Amino acid sequence: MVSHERQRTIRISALARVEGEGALFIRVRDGKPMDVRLQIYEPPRFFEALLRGRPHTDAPDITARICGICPVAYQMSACNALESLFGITIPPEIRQLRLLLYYAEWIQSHTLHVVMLHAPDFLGVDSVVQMAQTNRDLVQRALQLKNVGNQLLALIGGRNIHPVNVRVGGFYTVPRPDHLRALRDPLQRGLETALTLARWVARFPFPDFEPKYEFVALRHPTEYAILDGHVVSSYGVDLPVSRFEELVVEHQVPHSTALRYEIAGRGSYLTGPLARFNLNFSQLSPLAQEVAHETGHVPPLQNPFRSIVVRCLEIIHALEQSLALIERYEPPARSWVEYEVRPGIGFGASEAPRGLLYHRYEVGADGNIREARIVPPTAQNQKRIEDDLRVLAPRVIQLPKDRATKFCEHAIRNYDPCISCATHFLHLNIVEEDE
Amino acid sequence: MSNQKMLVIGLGNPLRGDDGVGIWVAEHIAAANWPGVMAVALESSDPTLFFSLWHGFTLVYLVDAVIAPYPVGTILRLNLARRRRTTRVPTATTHIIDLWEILELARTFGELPPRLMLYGIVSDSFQFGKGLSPEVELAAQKLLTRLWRLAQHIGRPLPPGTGSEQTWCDTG
Repeated sequence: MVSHERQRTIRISALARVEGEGALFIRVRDGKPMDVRLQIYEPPRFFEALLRGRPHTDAPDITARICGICPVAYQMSACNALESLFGITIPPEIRQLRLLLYYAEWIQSHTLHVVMLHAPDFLGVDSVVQMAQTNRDLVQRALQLKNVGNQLLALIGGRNIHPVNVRVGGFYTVPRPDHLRALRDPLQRGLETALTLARWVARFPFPDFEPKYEFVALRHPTEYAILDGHVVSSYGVDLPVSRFEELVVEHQVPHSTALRYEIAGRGSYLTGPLARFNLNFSQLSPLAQEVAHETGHVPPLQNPFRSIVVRCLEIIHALEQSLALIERYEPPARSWVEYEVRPGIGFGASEAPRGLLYHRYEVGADGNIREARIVPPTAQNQKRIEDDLRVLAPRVIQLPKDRATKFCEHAIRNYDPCISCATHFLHLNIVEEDE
Repeated sequence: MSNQKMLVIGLGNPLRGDDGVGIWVAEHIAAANWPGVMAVALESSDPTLFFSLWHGFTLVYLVDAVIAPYPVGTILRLNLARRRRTTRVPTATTHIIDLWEILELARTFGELPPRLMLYGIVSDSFQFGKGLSPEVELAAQKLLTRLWRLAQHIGRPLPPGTGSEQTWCDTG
């Protein structure tokens, strides 16, 4: 039998401007995608095994080491799980300080991704360095905005990378009001920058692409969920965090060292800024909602390329909320709550910049961790990224090799994947085969 | 920084073997509290951290592990204030934005210190866990001696005999 089928393979042997080690493989035959694999080949990091046998008090600090970009998310999900198990009620003052710490992480993480990693894709330039040649003032202001996030993180967290001040039950110490209030002016200037950024990115040319997503995020009764909440989806799911593992199915594939997740019986789903935005839009800050309407970005928003706008709206939200929290901040009489260890299983989740981050710990009567389970957002989105690339593949395959590569990388950066969390060093190599 | 004339920034990840050599050097200088020298261990390549750290300093040394076609333990010296990257070089970094991009951004924004040198220690062992290989630790100790002499001679030429030709490789 003679085959007239045309087969083309694109390999991006290492992905640039994403956090972690990953690669993309797409094989298309006769215009149809035959195989799409997001290959995560970063070695497994065994954090869950590392936690076994260690005191529960180590969990916030050890899990924070999973990621240099979103360590607060790991600390908060860990604390939520353990505090839930021990029946600890966090006083409002401490909860508000945790919110402030988390907003700081959103500000620095989102600004990094929007300006330094993702915006160059839309402008057709290789890097933020090239972008700065024509947008010098904006890039400089964005760096200052990121720095405000870093400063706030350092002030509350003890340092801006892998903060050390979070503990089960609260904080080791709390900042002085005058130190926090000294950040009001830089935060206010940051808000002006975030508004400029949102209006700037909203005018980018967005590829026409609107897949049907099942969005999954946390929802909180009174606020745009970040610190805690219950699990909801655009398909009507509404569950306590303790039942999250009933919703998702975990599996492994040979081409990835990261575990992958699907919703039982329905397939891939999306977590992250676009999910939060679509599920909880009415809880965004008034200014963020106003800019969303002004720029024509309101739910339902399905185009993942527009997630860059949503990240800017979330920066605006985080800055407005931070300013309000700092204004009314009074240090708590005690920085943490006393508690007694109870053996059992605790569940916790929070909204990392990249999406829902779930932790579960089984703790023994001695207070040591018997088992740990961590489900990071990038692992949850991995299947969804592949599904999107499968839909985009026929379009991609028509492009010249260099443009195809850039377009795939652009599409993957929509999810701001943090591959280190999902299980880091990159060389870009493309091999294209016609058979 | 008023009394400090020289800044040493040690880069890397101390939990990945020889990648921690920059941190090792910076921590030794900071612990010894060298007069006139500020030393910072930096496990991040956030440009804003670099810009705020070196603001006001005219003499800045970066120390990091490097992969290069020289024997392990060779110390490379690059004048970063002069050196430009002319082509897009594939980089291997966990640092989100690589060092060259930070330098080019600094140049664009006029944030580059007048004298900025990189001491790169050739390494090839980046496994999980703390600890330097013997060759890299020996090179780090030699670099400490070099930096100490530089700190004693700020604004003056360094006396001859500060390192053997086999160890020092001045790339420009």
